[in-house]
Amino acid sequence: MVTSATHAPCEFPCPVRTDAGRYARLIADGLYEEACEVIVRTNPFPAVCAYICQRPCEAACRRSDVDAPPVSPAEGEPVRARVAVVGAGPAGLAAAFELARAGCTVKVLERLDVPGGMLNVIPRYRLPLEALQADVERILSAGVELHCGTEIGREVTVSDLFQRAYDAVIAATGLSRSRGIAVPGFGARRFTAAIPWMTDVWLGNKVDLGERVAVIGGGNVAVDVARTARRLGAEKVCLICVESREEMPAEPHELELAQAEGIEIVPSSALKRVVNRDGRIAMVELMSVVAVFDQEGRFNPEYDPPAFAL
Amino acid sequence: MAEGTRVLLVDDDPGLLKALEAMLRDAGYEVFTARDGQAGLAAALTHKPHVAVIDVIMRRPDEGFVLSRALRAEPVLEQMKILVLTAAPDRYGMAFEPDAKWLPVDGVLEKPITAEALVEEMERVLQTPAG
Repeated sequence: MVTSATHAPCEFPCPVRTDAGRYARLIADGLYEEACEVIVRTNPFPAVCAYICQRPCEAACRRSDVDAPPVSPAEGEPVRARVAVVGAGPAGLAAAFELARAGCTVKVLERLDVPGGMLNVIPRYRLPLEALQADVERILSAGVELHCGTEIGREVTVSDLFQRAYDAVIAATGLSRSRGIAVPGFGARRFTAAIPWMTDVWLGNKVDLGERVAVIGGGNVAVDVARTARRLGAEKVCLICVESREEMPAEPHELELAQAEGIEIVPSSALKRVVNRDGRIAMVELMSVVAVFDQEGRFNPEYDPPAFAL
Repeated sequence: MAEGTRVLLVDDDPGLLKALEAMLRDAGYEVFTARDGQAGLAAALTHKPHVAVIDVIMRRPDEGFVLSRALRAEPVLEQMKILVLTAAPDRYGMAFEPDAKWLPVDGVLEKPITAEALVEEMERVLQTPAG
């Protein structure tokens, strides 16, 4: 069990429990390869995270208060099994990496022609392709077998895998859908979702953008979409989110870069309806948000009509 | 549970409507059908079904969303459960969840669906107390 009592304050908030204290000490001692080994111990994507990690360890660092020795994660018992992993996104590759290092025979099946999954839709200006490829190569070199262009349910089924003497199948098919909003006007031409749209950009498919783009959301994905839209030639891009400017979940640095690129941030606002004309978006109507979370801290926006338009 | 349970199906696909109607009738449900949102609202007000299963993309791409809000706004249908059965997630790459403001329904189901899965979900929401 992982609790704040079992891990150092800097490790606990890290999704992969990176032993930040140890690798920082090794770097300070000039032992860079050893530091890298510590990082890779729990993180199959060190180069990717060097670019996109939000560094929760830094906020929790108590180096200035306590100079305690770092904690070593316990090593598990080696296992021997044949495992098929469905999906070569970050979750599937991370699972494959850990299993291969634990002694398992691992085959990863990926629907698309390249591994990486959703890491591929992070814009290249934010995550260089070389960083992603370096991490994927490191994972594969641990003994992971990768089969691209293989879709479960089409080329092969889960039953087939078990019949081929696999002991386990890990489903890591990812989240290739965005959260939909059923607002009035849904379904107009150019009313689209972030992840499919970013996937089209990545794959080089034709994207239908127009001149004025409204991006709904206040997180890093929304910022990625807005900045990408600007790069693809949109004249005006607005980032509309229910949170106040201070509450926006996107990284402050990303928001600053977005604003420097001319993207307008419209905080404390929610989509009320999309006004269509001849099947196209003519206007988006917004309403003010007076509170994002309720008294129990749940996401439950409170609106204050009347609406205003963009 | 099926005996005496009234079900309203709203979908613009006559083939699907016919197949679901036959299947639910065989299972013992009393079934009413409508081919668009306007007819669906009228049928709901007339027959006061226990559960409505509604499509989204009909004449308009958001017709089912509009219908769900119209149904939920009718005080006489307060006890009626609403399930959305749609291909919109696949078509638009979006996942929909019930939402008090825009999608006030009891569940979102995705096409294609088996008869068993539809009946199971209908029975689940019928046993849930009205919110």
